[in-house]
Amino acid sequence: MTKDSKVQLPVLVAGGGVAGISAALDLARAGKTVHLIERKASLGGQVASLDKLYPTDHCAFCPLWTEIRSCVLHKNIVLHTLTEIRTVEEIDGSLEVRLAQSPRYIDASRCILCGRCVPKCPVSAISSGPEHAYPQTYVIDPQACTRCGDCVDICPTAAIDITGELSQSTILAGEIIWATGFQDVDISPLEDYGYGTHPNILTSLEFEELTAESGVNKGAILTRNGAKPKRIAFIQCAGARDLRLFPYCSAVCCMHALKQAQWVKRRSPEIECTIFYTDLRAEGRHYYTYYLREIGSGAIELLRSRPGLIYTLPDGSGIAVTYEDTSTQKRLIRVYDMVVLNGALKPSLTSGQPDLAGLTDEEGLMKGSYSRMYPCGFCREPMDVEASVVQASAASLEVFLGGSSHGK
Amino acid sequence: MGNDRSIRCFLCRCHGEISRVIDLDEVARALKSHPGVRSLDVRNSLCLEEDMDVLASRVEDPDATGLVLGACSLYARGDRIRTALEEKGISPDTVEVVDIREGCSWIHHGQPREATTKAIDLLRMGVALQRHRENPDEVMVDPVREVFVLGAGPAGISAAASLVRLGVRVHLLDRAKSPGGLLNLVKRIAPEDVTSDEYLSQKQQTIFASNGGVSHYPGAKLISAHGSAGDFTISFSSGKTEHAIRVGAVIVATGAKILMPDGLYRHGNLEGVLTGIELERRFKAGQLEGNRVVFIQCVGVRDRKRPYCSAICCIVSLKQACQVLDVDPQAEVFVLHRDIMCPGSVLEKYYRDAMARGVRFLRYEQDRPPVVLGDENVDSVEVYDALTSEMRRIKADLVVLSTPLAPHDDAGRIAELFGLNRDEHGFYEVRTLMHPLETKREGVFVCGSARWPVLGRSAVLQGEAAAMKAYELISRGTLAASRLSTYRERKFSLARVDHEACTGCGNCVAVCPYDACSLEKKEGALKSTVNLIRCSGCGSCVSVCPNGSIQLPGHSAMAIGEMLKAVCEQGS
Repeated sequence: MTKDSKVQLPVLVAGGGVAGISAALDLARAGKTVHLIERKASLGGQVASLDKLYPTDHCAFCPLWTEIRSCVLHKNIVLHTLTEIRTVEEIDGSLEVRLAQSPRYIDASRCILCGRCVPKCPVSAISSGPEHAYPQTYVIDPQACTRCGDCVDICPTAAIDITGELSQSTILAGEIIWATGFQDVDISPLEDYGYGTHPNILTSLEFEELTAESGVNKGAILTRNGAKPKRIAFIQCAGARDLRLFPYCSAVCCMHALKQAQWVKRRSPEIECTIFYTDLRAEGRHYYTYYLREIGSGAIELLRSRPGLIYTLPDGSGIAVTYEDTSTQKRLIRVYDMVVLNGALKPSLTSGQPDLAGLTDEEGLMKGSYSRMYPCGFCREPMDVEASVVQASAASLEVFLGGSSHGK
Repeated sequence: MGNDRSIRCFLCRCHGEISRVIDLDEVARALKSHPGVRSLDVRNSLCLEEDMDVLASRVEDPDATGLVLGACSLYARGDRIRTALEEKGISPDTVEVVDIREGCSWIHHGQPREATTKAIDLLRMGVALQRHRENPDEVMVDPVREVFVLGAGPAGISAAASLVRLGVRVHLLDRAKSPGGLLNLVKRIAPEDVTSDEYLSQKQQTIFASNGGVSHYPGAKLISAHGSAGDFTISFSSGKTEHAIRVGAVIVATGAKILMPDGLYRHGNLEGVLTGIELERRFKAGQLEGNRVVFIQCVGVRDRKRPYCSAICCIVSLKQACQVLDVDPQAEVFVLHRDIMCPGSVLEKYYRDAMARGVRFLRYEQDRPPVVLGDENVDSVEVYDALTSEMRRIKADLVVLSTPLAPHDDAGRIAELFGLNRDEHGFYEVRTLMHPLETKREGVFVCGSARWPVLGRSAVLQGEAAAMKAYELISRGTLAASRLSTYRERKFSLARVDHEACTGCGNCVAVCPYDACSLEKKEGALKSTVNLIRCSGCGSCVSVCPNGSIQLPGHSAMAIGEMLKAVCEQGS
């Protein structure tokens, strides 16, 4: 344990999802200065994009928003949004981190959310940003923006400046907590799942976005074409527990599918839902209670089988799911209007993350501990919100202890 | 009653967002004549620096001036106006932000008349509230820099070792004579595959080698716990002596017990039917006989009586199955299960490895459980294979029943002592999602299998996380009670008792979910007293007080009455 007698260097937390937010708050409350780095325009990570959370069935908004607000307002936390980590170099026992921050264009402290810029933009580059962002502000997509300046003229509070450019900065940090979370994976290379061949073969995060109360359909369960589906299939372990893609279990998908299916039933009881599963992993705190409540009623069909081939019917009448009825060893086909693929989630490691080869293991997850760097949350191992928060606190502790005492 | 603040009103046009629907001239006329209003200004954007300075400059005396702002929702930018004003030395208690944008001009944009009326009503209520809002009570807490850890299993040991390394004095109490908890009962730990001694040795060395950092009380019994976050007094007996200690935070790491099968699957009357722990004993003694072993999962759990999944039993059985193969690579090992619970990467790999080593898995259905056959000794297990819909008969020398972890028999007593709730299964209830180790009682944290069954690795992690939370609480020096917890960063109103009016009926004591109210003798009579550290300002006490002697100063009955009057007396 080395005690820094000279200067207390700040801690850098990479990632503003549930793990990063928790770690930043833990460190800040115990007296550390924290730089919280988030790639997107607002905090919250993947959980912020979810409609509901299991096992509470509450909106993702409530539990997260208060924490985000605490983070934004905490005097020990310096927030860097739209920022990526370019390089990390260890110099004399401290970490030199080079950051690249994209311009925000809209000054959050001046934007009054009037939205007058949105219809003015000729290329629809301005959006309202995530529903529950804190602070809330409109966002300009720098790739789409043509710099025409129409929005600048209409903004009543002069909040928009489109001349901004990528700015680079360097922070000298004592430690880094990696909490970069996870991301959806394109599983079209696994052709048997048919992803990409039909608009209504979706990943579960796409389905969540499509059916969210704050989404395009305001919570109505509709297909991508706007029609009311009659049958929805949830395919578990699609790309996970699969040696072709990810050998690991993504840990969150069973409960996630149960949650989605039960919200479908709640909003549209007439829609038939089938969950094709391998093992239904409802082992977490109160998860089995949730499982019993949703499955006990018999409204959601559970089918223990791993579908072999998913394809669009030539006449366009639906999506065929072929699977084996293991009790008769017969191959069966069922037709669905929507197919939700659950499971292929991979650790999200920013493009600029230093020397990824050394930081990750053979499954692409971050290893347990390195000198002065502590990973936590999904980027280290697939896990749910509670486990991520616990691990974030444990990682914060490691920062105070100045060295890891245990491995993965 | 009231605070005699003179009210200055500001209305925000929000660059037309408010003023193009609401007739602010009319609002201004209505408010100017309202009692207590000393001045009224209409500005373009109260949330921006330029107007903020004007706002602040009108407050000559922060104690004698109340601000009522007709602006946007607290959740949009109103919150930030208050925060910015606070930075300029103006207390949020003297600022009412009344939402006339989201809740008026935006939502009623097609009905300007009604929106204007509503804005006037809301602002009048804001003025009434501000005139009658009383300053909240505040109490400072100087947390004791010591922590009490209850239970010396993996979670408790890990919490204690972490705190010691942070320089915090720890009192570690355990009912058992030697530390280690359930890990003492097993030969090897999964999935790390080390012995239980190796597993905790480093942490135990940290604890027991530290000079005076940890007071360890083995074989001890808890007697009582009093106090609240920052200052608890715990008494317990250890040997023949009684101790009373003061600590700033409490970590409950009491673990769980292993359920006995109670005759299930003929355990107890058929030779060769063992529990997992009985098998561990044989491993430890090196006396494993028989090489045809059948594990049955979910024994006494995931059923009507115990409708939960104990989470760790699958991995424990996988470990034991592999240990059987270690002893005899030719052994035939079956695991009869209902779902193999191996979430994540490490545990899933552990499962794959067991399969690769030749452990065979067979799924049974809850309503068609396996049947153990044999006269005196186990002969075989008959099971309906749910995947192939066939009856199978598996020859067996040993049947191992995988039973769950269940709450300790005295979990109820401990919960009562610390004011914790328990869930429907008897485990200690914690806050959900973002505060998974915090309980309803500030300063009391729960980790390890006492909150939910976990493997050693998670227990250790939770112990560390709980140590971090306790450290946050006790390391900050003197704190205002209203900012004590991690969920209250903002000041809010705590209950206050008018002792002259209080009749000591005790309704508030009965209803308080945080055990903050109690009856104490004051000048010969019982009076309600509020522990401001425990109070969370929920207002339950206010609603049951028969004569209004307990109030939340920020929203007293008086203030709410005045707010209602402000609307009802409008008439026009």
